[in-house]
Amino acid sequence: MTGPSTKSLAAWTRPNSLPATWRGSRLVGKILMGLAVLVLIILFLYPPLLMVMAAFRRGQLAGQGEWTLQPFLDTITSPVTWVVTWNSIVLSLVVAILGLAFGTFLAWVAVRTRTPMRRWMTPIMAVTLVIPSLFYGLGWYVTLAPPKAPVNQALQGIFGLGPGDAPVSSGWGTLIFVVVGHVIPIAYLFMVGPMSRMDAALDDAARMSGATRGSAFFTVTLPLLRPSMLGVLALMTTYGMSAFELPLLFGLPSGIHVFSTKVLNTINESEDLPNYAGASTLALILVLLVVLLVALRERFVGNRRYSTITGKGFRPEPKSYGRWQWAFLAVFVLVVLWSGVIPLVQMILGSFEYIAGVASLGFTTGNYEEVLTGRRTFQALTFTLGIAAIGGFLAAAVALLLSHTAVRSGRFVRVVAMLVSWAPVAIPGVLVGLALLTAYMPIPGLQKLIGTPVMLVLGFIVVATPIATRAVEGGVLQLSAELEESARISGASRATTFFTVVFPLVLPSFLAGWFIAGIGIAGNLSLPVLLSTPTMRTAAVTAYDLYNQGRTGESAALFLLLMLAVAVVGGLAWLVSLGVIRLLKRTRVSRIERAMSMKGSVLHA
Amino acid sequence: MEFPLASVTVRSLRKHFGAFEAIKGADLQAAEGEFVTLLGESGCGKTTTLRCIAGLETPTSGHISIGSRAVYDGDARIDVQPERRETGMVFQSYALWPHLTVMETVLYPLRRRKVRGKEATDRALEILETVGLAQYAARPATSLSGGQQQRVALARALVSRPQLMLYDEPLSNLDPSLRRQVRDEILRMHHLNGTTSIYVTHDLEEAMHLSDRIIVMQSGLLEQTGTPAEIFAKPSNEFVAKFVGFENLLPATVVAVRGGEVELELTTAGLTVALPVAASAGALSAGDEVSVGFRSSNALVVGEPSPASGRRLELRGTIERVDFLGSRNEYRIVSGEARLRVAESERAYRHQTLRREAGAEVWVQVDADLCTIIPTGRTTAAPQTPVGAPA
Repeated sequence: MTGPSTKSLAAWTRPNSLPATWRGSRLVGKILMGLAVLVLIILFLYPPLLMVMAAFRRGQLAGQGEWTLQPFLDTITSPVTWVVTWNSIVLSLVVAILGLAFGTFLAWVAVRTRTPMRRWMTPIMAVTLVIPSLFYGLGWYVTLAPPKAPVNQALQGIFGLGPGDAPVSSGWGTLIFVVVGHVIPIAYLFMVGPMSRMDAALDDAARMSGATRGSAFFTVTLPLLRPSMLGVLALMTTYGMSAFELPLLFGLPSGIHVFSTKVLNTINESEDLPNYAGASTLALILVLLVVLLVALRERFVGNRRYSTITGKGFRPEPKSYGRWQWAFLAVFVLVVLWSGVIPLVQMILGSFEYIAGVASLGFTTGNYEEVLTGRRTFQALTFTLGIAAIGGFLAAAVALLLSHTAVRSGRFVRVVAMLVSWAPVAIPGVLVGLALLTAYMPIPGLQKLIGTPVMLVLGFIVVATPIATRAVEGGVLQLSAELEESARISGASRATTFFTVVFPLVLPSFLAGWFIAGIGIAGNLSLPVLLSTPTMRTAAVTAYDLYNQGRTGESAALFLLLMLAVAVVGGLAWLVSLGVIRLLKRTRVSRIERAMSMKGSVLHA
Repeated sequence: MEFPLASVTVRSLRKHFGAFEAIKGADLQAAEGEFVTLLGESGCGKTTTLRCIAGLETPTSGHISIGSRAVYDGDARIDVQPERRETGMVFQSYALWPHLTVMETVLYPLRRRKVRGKEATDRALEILETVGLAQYAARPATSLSGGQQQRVALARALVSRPQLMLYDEPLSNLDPSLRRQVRDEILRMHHLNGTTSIYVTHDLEEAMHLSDRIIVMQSGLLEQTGTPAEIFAKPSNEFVAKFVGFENLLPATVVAVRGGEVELELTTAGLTVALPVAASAGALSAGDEVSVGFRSSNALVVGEPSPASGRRLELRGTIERVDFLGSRNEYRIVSGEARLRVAESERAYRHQTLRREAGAEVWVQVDADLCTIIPTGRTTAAPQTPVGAPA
């Protein structure tokens, strides 16, 4: 253009070393992104950091505690610590392998065979996931563990044992059995995707080359799935690491401690002062193990998480396996009984029995009367529903923002988002609670939050974000970048684009994420067990207390009421939103038609 | 409809993705109302250039202005967000929002630009009638057929009367039968509104049909700018020549330029020929290394040399292979060290007797005005050096 004007000369005096992508109006976007990352750090990074520091302090966190290595060294050198570590590793590995074996097999049955009912398998598995661990655990507990439990009664009859004998009770066997049953649906749902994207022609090629059906499965299908299976295996191991409710019910009575239960036990072991240092040290060992697992998972799976085996988008042709399919169906039915129906039915029965699990004494509605007339019942239920709704919404919102930024941004943000959405899977809620306590107690202003619902909600966001992310990210991944770009070109700012294009399109996934996260929160015991106070108790904590007092029937009744409430509230919300959507659609269409008739053009829509 | 017209200027535009240089210093101009096409193979940087102009991609350095307004300047730290650049864009994948109806889709850009009420609906309906989709206004945009969807996208891009239209391979996702139809629609809308347009494609025919001017791009560089006729007849380098369909490129050296003629020595065919100066895309002088190019369909295969020595290129060769393709025969002919490709039309092969088999000796004739001299940018110091393999 023309020579340098005074204005352009003046511009030169400004510091001009920023790269182009950091300049001008894009800077605002970067600042917003920075803020988002900051919130994530406060929510997800700061509490664990303070927990690390707590491992090296003695005395009260809030007061003038002194820095010392002593509690750390005490914990590290204590043989109990290593027994707990060993227990956790054994439990999670055994559970992961067994769960994956069943899950993979059933996924194969559902996708690649013509077994009857195969189309119902995925929905049924998804529904069993909704059952809270504590509820599931209590259901199995009254079925298996006490001497008067149905299983023990039957065994006593068969082997002629005394009425006080319990051939089956808590311990390694039942613990593993129960935890495996709880994780099979998770393994199934993770395997069914990769399995259905696999080209059946690869199997056919093996058959044409002389392999039998069985050997084609073991020589072609399974090896091709190996990357997915290793990834899911690592994930399942982290599920085992974070298990809390089930070890509490089936391990603790036999003295089997895992990380989550030991952390709780360590905090409460001395009467006068909570042992935060010892608990934090234990937590650190677990975090280290989990980081190792996540790293392993990255090595095996890396970027292949969403890649398909052939990428052609065909449906694999299911094949008939004749009479074997009835055996496949039988395995499926057994697994559904195992991971859902038996504990559920047992809890429903138990809520009507004088002693839960003992049907011989007859039935009563006494438990419900007791619970419904209880002073705190209504309060606990509404409090739980409120916390679940708010926490679930916030978790789904965090999940949406995370997965959206992860898809649309550079590598750094993507890695941060992935860590935030995966790491909490492996961290038991007890640890999240511990981290929050250690983070907020030393700071005078924030200290006041402890014992308030705010603290619980903060913790639940962390706990429920991974669950919500699984539901939300699918919707986000389906959005092509061009849909947003065309909005920008049409004159919408980044924020307007998010609310007018991105949000309406991912709304179904968002609502699903909200609901699932809410259910997870409503049934969660491991977080509120540390954070709730006598005046602020969730239904799960109340139910666990009732169980501890031997009032298992009431506990079952309370839990069923909670699930009923969740179902009613969820169903009502669903109906209302359906109605609203239909109404909106009608008004939108009629508005367009009105505009067109005013213009006088011919209309046939 | 009144559309504001604006010119586009892009100066020394660079864009790096990590170590990869997608655009290596592009300069381009589009006058007010001009239809300019960026033509090139996939990965040549044409789409990135378009996205930089749209503001969807931030360049590494350079300058872009639309009209008199700078929308990007690396030195002055100007980077206008895409929504403030007043452009319209048509995407390859249509990019229609599945949650909106056709009407709402077209209203969207108007709402964002604060056009409301009756004016907005009138403008939206007007543009929908222009593209012939008014009767689908209440239908979800994604429920229409491919061609209709792309016409909705076209209406959405035009409805806010942008000063610049950008097209990113808008026809690639359409069936071949629909392509022609939407192409005509784009051209019709352009003639109707006269908006300055930049169009990206890899399809030569599309570019020829639509453009006032074509810019050929290759690996991040602009290779040649010209009208469709210029690009088609006189490519300025070998890459463009191959891209616009010159199958035969024979290396040659300029021996002398005298009068209206250029005397050339064809190094691989081993003969000298005189062609009119007008056949060259640039100025020539003795010693320049060039290529003599012609399309296979512009050459004739004959059994013996014709006595009348008009101004034409005549090469003697041996048939290496003949392929019968129905409407034509395709020959590979070896002449000296050169390999020629010649197509014989149905008319020629029905009217002429010829030994059409490998090993037969034939003559290839090309009229001088159908030959193009393409500069290579290299010069040999001594034009009389013995025949060597050119680089």
